[in-house]
Amino acid sequence: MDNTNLLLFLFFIIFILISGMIFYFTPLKNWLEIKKISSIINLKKSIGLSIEHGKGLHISLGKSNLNNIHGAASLIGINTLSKILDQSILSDNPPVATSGSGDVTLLAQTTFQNFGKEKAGFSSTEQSNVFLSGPTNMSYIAGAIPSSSKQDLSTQVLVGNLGSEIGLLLNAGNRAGNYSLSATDNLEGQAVSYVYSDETLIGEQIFSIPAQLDNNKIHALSLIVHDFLRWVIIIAIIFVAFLKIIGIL
Amino acid sequence: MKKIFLILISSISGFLIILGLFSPGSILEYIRANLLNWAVILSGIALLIAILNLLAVHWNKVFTDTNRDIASSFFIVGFITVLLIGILLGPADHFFINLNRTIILSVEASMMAVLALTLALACFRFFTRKQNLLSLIFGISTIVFLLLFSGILSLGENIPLMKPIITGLKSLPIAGSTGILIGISLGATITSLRILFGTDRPYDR
Repeated sequence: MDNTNLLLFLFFIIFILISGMIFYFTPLKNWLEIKKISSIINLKKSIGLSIEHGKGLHISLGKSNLNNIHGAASLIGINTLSKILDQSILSDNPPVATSGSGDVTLLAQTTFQNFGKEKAGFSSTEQSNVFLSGPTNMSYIAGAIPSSSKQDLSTQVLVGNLGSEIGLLLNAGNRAGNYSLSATDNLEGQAVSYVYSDETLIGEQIFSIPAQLDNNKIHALSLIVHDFLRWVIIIAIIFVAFLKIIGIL
Repeated sequence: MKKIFLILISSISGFLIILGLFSPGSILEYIRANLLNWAVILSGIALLIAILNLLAVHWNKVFTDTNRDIASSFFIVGFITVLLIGILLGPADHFFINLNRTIILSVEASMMAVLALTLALACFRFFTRKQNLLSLIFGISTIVFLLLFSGILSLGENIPLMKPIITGLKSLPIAGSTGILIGISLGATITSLRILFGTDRPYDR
């Protein structure tokens, strides 16, 4: 990395720190409002109906390890699992989560275990409710299909890194008549899930799930910073294109 | 106290890795390489634990009194067979390598075949499942770009003005996917920063 990149990165970190501190320590944070995504509203409704009817949920956390570029999507998957656990406290049928990576499985089990400790009456059955369904792309799907097509299931949520093989999982869920929401950071996975899933989150919308599922101001703030940075990049691209057209670059 | 300790470990390790990335040749780079090696080793151990957990899950499914799942017995038999052969013959043995490859390839190939059929079927089901403007644009653009990238319009490139139009159209999917990827990269960066600053703690719910 050269000095320019280092300076840019430091600027980026400082910008986020300052904006975070301003929003966190001033009354501005009370005015933070984010636009609700209809898919997440429908997911909440579906979770509510699942609890009402005593049906279960399947959460697929994707196949990626945490130590690569797709790890962020897996972390969002774990965060989503945590939020869904909060909502399904009253359910007789605890959610089932599957993952294609060892570290994500252990983190998801920890989330499940801690939830069991926090909420009295919720049995700590994390061993069979959160498991690695397969360590390779296709074995992961092969192992997750039985969990997503069970009769006592009504909702499946797929959040994480999933490629075009997501189609098999969604198809199995559709055949069982389950409601499905999918959010992946993989472009092929997004295209396939758009066809198969009831609700699909496209592009960076996957990173808005934590902010959409709860009222945490930090999540809302990070979403606003994300949006702002996206506009900065759009303006920079247009500006550079303009400079190229007029012959300066 | 435990929470603060975990946040400190997570944040300090994260910052050391970032600083090591920007300081080639320094002690920070050495620390970064070691921390990443530890992460890889831990990830391997986590995978081993998760596989043992998977075995336990299937074992419970077979030997439970209610809703017994006989299909899980195939997993247990396959797992124990491959594991024992691996231990007896060693991981470098040709028979073991071929056995491993055959099992993995047959599963992956059959799943790929099912996926190909499922995706082909999805094309037909698409318009019956979703009937809105976005779906129409999605469907039309899929057909247009399939035709465009099949090379069917390559003869038209000799016609004046057609070549830049075709080239421009061909760059549209790249532009779209680049836009989506920029958004995803920003989201990944901000998610990482939330963990780095301890506001998100996946290790401690």
